[in-house]
Amino acid sequence: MGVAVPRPSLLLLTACLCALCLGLLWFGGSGPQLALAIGDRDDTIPVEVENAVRANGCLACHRAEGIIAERLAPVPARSLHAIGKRLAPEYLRQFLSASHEDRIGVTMPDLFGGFPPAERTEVIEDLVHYLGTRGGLFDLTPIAASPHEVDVGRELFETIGCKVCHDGGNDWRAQLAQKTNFRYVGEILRHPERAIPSGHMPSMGLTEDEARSISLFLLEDQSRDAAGQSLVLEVAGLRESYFEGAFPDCGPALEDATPVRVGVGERVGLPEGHREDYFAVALDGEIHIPASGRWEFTLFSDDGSRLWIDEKEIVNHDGLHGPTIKIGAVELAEGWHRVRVTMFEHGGGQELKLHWSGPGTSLEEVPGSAFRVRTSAYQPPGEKLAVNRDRRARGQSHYIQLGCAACHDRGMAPDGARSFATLPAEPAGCLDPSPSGGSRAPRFPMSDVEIGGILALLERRAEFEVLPTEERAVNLVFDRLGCDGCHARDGVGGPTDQTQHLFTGTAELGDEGRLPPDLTGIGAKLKLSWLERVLLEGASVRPYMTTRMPIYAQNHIEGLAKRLHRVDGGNDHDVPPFSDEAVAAGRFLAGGEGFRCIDCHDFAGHRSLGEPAIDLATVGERLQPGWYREYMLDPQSMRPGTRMPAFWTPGLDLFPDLLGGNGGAQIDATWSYLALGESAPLPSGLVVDRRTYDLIPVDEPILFGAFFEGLSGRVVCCGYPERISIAYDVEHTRLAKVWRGRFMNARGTWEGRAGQLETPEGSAAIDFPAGDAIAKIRRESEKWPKGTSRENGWRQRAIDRDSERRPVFRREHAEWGVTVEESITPRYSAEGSSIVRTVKVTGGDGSLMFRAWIDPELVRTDDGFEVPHGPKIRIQGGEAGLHLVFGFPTELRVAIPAGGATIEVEVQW
Amino acid sequence: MVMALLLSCAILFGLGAPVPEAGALAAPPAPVEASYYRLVDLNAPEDVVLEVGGLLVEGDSVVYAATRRGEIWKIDDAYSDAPLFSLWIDGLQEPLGLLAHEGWIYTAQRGELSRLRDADSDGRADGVETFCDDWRISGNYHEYAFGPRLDHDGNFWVTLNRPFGDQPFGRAEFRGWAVRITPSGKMEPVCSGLRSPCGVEVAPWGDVFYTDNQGEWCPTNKLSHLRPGSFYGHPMGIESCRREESLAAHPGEIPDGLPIGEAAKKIPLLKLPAVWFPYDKMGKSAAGLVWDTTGGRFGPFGGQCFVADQHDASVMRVFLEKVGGEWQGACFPFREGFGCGITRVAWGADGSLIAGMTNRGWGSLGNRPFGIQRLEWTGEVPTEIATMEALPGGFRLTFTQPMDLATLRSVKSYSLGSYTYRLHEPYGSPEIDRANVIITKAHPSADGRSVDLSCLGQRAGYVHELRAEGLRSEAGLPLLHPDAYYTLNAIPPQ
Repeated sequence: MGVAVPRPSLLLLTACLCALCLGLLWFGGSGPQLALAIGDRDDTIPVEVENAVRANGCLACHRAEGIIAERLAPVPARSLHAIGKRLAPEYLRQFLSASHEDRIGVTMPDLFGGFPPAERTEVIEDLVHYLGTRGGLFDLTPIAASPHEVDVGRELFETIGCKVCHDGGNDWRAQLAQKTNFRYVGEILRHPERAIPSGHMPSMGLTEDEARSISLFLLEDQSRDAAGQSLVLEVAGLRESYFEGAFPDCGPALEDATPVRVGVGERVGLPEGHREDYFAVALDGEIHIPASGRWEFTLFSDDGSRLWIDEKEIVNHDGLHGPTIKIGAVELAEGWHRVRVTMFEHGGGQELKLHWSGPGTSLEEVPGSAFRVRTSAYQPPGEKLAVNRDRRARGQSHYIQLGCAACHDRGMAPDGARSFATLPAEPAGCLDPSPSGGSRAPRFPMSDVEIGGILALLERRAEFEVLPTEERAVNLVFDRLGCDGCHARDGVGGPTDQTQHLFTGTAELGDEGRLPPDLTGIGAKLKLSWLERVLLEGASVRPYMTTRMPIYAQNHIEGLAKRLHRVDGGNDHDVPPFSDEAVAAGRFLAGGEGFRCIDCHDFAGHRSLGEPAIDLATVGERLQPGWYREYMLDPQSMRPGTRMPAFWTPGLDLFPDLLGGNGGAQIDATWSYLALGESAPLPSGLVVDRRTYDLIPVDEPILFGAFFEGLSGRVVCCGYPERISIAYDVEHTRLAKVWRGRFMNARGTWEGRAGQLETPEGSAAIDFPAGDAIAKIRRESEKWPKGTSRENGWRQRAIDRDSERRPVFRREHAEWGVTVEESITPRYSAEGSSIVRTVKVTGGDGSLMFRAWIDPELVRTDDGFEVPHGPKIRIQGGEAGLHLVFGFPTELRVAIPAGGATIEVEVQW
Repeated sequence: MVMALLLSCAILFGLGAPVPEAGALAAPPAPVEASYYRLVDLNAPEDVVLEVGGLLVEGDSVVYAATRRGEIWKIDDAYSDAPLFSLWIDGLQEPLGLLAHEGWIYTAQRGELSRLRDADSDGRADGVETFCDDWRISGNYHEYAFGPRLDHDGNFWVTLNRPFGDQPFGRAEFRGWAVRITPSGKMEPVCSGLRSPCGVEVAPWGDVFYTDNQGEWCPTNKLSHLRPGSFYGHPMGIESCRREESLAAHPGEIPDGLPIGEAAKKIPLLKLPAVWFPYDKMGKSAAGLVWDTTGGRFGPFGGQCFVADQHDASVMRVFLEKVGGEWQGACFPFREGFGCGITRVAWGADGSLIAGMTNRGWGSLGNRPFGIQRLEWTGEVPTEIATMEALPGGFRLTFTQPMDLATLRSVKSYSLGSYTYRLHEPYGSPEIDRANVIITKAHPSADGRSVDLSCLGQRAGYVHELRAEGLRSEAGLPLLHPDAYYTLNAIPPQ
């Protein structure tokens, strides 16, 4: 039989605000319909039907044992423990009265079919009094809001992905506005997994502001009264319009400016969450003058500000300036007057305050209580529940007797419910499409088609006594979570003609820039660890897409990442051999002289020269090497329609001299290079904005002199293009630190008067031993000398630059006739990067020692030394040995022969 | 505010400018500074943050600029519309001066005098050599080192700022000092009591001068002759005088709050400035300075000194003369309207004045955060007071143009007042003990090029503020800048 079944996956997605029961978040009837012919599809029961049995909670009453109980385990209904606080009493009443109505997204059955109409009303009212007090009473306090936020919320709702699932239009929003209040909607949007643990609503990673805007959009009807008039609320404070931009003043320049956000500010002051520079604020409302007379207003601001009262400018303190005051005076009558204050900030510091003095008021900051503003308001629906204790008690017993607890509290199945195994596959009882008046069986809001599907499943229930195949398990999760609303996989799902318009992004990237990726073979493309991050953390590498990848809770995905990896045949470990030559070749190919990958792709957070395609430094973390190799050879076959060109076309060898012109080796080289991730040297040709404070070495090292935390006021740091950085203490003539990743943010040294103590910007910083690196040690047992390097006779002589502009630090001990030149060479391995510290000592009488390392746990290994769980150290040149003195950390000392030596210390960490 | 100031001047000095009778002199459009000295931008690439701390001119087309971000940029074709910038070296700490000497470029970093060169001629410095690091820093932002300048004995002069606030690595000696570094790289601390000595320069005759910034123990900005052993007013670093290497004796106890003339009597080592720059009238933050050695290519002020101001984005002009064996003289407004505060000035190969600018940290007039501009003489001679010399019982003014004898002769063309400052710990000093100076007679020279003013009430130890708004040139022009400020430490003997 060929019947149309409404897409049950939608039912489940809607479990957000509604979960299984009191839901109303139905999104209109325009959703896609799935033509389903039971029995047509390889003779299996469709996953939608299997999911429907779970969603309707069949096994909550009709118990089963073994694997079938596990497979068809009811999706828990929403806990009702705080339902009174969350839903309007009038809504509860209506819902219980008409729960069997065909509202998609609601699986709550009608439990009152067996009651005569009069009794039914009473029972429902009792339940309202019971449920309506659970967790407290529904909060009816109005909130202030601005119409501007509604537009922001609408935009978000329609673009980040909400609407793909919740496509219910205005009716749906109107129903929602009758149902609950701003606070609860906000809770759900921010933390759906906490607000409705039993639901499937994922987090969209919303900020508080975003959640607020979307809530205000969803509940927009609460901002109007029954006659459609906007509700207005008077609150203490001022309407605060916050602008961003380089405004030349805060008068004419703000007249036509569009605020970034509008809220209510407590008093005249800087807007909350303002950025450092280039913003403006306008504060509007009314001010209460306590007594008639002459009032002086003092505006304190940096940069300009203005004050108007009753549309008359009282203080004009506009223009670029530092934190200064300006005073204006005006005769005012007691009472409320319109007030407007504007302020703008260019660069540097920012201030805004308003003081007043007048009859009976000595100079003080104008208190927040002196301001009021009329703002649009939201009024939660309905009236306060007048609680009747008797009704509440009766309601509680109805709740138990009617079996509500079976679903909502995972309680006992109601008396008389048959076991699942013995249910007849007949359209009777709960599955009776047209039940007789007297039946006490719950009536589910299911269409005939759904009933048909469940009957088919019952007929073949034996098939569910074994676990589903991996593939079916994947499909079940895809259906349950609605992945297919956004993503296609194996030709099923993805944006439809109706939903296409909801996906937006960067126009220059075409459909790739806006449509969520096809997930066919995804388990053979993404590393397992990345798949898990995508599902559980919303990890995303597509900043150009407006639609967001939702963040699912662990229990939502039911092992989906691992299943995908197995089903698609993933292999994360087929890594090509690593060599420095490969890294260099890979870097060349990615850069401006090679295939110019950086023309389109971002790299380690640096913008591409053109369209912002996926950040290449994420390749090694995300992709499986085998997939990468095939993709490089033929991008079109792996991602049809991609704009990624094929660079290694057979017969066209663009770089015949590189790695012997071997395309496979070249592809592997790009892998070795990109897999270094954050440690990868930036590709040549990347354009770095030198005006920012981030110091980013690309083609040659960057040197940076600063005051340095814990070292001295004379420290020269070097950031190498290999993403290794060091700090050399010139005052104490020693190499002090090395770290990985980002080099330095110079703000503390380059902004304003500066002079802050700098610290490494990157990660994994290690410290070299404090004190002199080289000392005269005459006896084996002699301790390393104390004192500063100056006191000990060392003086800094130079920082030379070698042919690659790397620094060579030169110091001298005049008395001993010893010169030391020290430099650092970064080195790569498949595990990441290491450094070689080269110390060239010239002169000396054979009593000199170089101290390479100190650590209490330092031990000798086969090829060098190491600190367990710490750095590995290999030494060449000189004679290295461990020096142990009881009570002191072990020292790794290297004896320097008379006349000098060149010592190489490789440190891997 | 400006109105109020003008008004108070008028009341104090008892006059306003006489208004020329209508029709008596045809009034051409009033010339402006730009008519004589025009600003030319040195166009830099957008991503070069040219917060200039040092300037060096090399040959006909190259300029080096050291920046507060620790870079030295080599600028080829510096006088063209499209100069070429290349990064010569990076990694320096606030290099605040550049000097070429014997094939090296010297610069003062916070913690050392360094020298650099490009021996392999690859267009990049080969590295940085530490020439002298005998002074220390505590890690305070205000511990700048300015210079170096080379004296006629081959010594390098560096001035060391005092710290303000945290000294995370411990207090350092010789802060607030001028030090001399011998040709062998040894530091000789020679002068104590400096505050924020942003400019240091060797005059053509070999004396070393420096500029200091108003604040505690510095009543207003000043230009002082650095004489080894002298003390300059700020007691913060004077304990370092007791150290072995100091070449300056301890100045003794510094009384707080005396007028500067009185203070000089109590502190024998106190060296009075050659010129006070009255605050707000003559800038707010005196910085780099140069003597005009262009041989007339920069206009009619040869041999005079030009002093940059880091707040007012302006350049002032200074005339010095020796009275009683000490330098003193007058300062005049010269040119304002630069892009932002000027730290350094240097002579371009074409005789223009190159100004290196930054407004970072202290703010300034102007609409740019940093950059380089050149000031070119248009060839037109402005109508200016060229010099103001002290006479027993008066002053002599000379002019760049022949002046109208009638206006020269009229005492109503001038007003003159005097005031002094207090040496004290609070930030800056008001102008104190103000009095009118009465001009009893004005004797012009026959050619109208100079005038001798006889005064009643001339006072040694006082700044004499002149306004000569009534003067007209033979061509009928008023003075481009009618103001002059003479620091009369001593009255020349009869």
